[in-house]
Amino acid sequence: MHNFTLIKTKGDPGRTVNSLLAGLVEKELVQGVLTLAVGPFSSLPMPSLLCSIEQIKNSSPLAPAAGVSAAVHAARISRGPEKFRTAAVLRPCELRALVELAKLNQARLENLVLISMECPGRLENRRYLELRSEHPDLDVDYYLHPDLQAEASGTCLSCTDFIPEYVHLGICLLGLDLKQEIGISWHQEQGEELARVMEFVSGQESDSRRQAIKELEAARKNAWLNLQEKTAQEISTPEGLQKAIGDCLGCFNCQRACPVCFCRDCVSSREAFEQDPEELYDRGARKGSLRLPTDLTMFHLTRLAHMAHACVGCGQCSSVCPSRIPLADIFRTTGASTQEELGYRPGRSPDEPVPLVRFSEEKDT
Amino acid sequence: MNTQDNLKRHPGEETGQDLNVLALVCNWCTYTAADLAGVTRLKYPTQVKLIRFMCTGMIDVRYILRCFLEGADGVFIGGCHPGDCHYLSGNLKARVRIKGLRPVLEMAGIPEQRLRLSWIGASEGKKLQEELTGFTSEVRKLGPASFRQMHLV
Repeated sequence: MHNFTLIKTKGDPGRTVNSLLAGLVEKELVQGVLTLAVGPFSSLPMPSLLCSIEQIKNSSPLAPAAGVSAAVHAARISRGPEKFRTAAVLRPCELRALVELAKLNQARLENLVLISMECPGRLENRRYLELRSEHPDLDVDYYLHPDLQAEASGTCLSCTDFIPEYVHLGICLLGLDLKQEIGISWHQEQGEELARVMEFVSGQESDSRRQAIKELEAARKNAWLNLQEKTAQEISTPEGLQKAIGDCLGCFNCQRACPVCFCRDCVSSREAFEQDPEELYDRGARKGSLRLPTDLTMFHLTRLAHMAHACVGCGQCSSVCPSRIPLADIFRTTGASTQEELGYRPGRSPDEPVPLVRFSEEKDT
Repeated sequence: MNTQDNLKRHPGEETGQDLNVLALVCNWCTYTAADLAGVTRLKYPTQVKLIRFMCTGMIDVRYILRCFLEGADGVFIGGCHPGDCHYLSGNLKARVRIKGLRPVLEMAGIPEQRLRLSWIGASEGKKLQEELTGFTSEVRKLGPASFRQMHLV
């Protein structure tokens, strides 16, 4: 990579990113910024559409949290007319989800400046709030202390796609002394244009940076292979799956939190799913009893069948599950096989069609 | 039938069948082939129940999942040869969908041999007989599917 520059941070990498974002608005490249910000009544950073320079300078773009996936909100904001151009700061997984949504005509990428960062992982919301009460400077400390990063969500700790791909501006954090400097990389035509306006000067990447990326890649890959093997072993039997989803309440949180599950009216929540008392009695009589609510195995398998090819591995489904079902493990493991089978990687590029529409007489995909 | 009578029933008892094989078949090819097989007195296993669809392209993956969760031991899908679809590309859509569904079945603990997709043209009554016979005996080797008796979440 040669489109790379270093920016001095003066101790706070988050503030440096803030100034950069504010610069985009000041130079009228965008009208607003979508990034994490803390409101007056909670310390949990949430995706926010920031329009004033002052608010942008107080945002927390590097906060290690993702209360919800920002991808759906970036998609929604991007659907407006062209006069609303937004800089969206997303985690790599959120960026992949956004690209998937764009393929399904749910987002207009031409209205967005895509900014993403090398992601050491996010903390679960609850854990973020706990740690923040111990570390007031959590958003900075997190990047300096590996023991804090080890607290990241299980999904993140086994994520191998921590470097953003389809991005205009990349925030480079690995293998750098963030108290001193952060890196910015730029990509695609839009990225080049931004770099010109922002007057970035191309520089060299250090070997220590490459080394740090390599090390993290190896550790994450190892964790992922272990998780994949464990999930395949423990869950992929009829009994294993039932044990895994046995505590499901049918709240459909996983479906709502999933950034790529885009239908506004889910087949699982429609009336077609409702059964009349006679049918319930008939089904109950067949096996002696019937667990209520019914058809949750069907719900989870349907979601897998519909979305596994597009699973970007963000882990939101696991995070929101009140019964702590390892949904993300199930989804990522199934998704890995589906994606391999179909020769597809979700979120790589908006020009790559979704596999279900790629068919021909000779062969598929 | 009242509830207690119903409780005494065992799967397959009413039909005297040891297996439940569902064949979801296309109206324009495999179903016509089944007609031909009937006219020419070719026999296929009685465990197979044919369900006619206008096209394999309209077979939602949920239909297949539902078959398995309700206790089907095997699901057979018969469609037109590539290039012969009455609606141009329904069979190709079915093919790519089933390709994507297989890892899901694997995660659910359903062996992939329990689902077969075959192309059977309208004139291929003999092939229909062979495919259904072969599939049924393969499913028999796997034994009854465990979802049949299981209390599912």
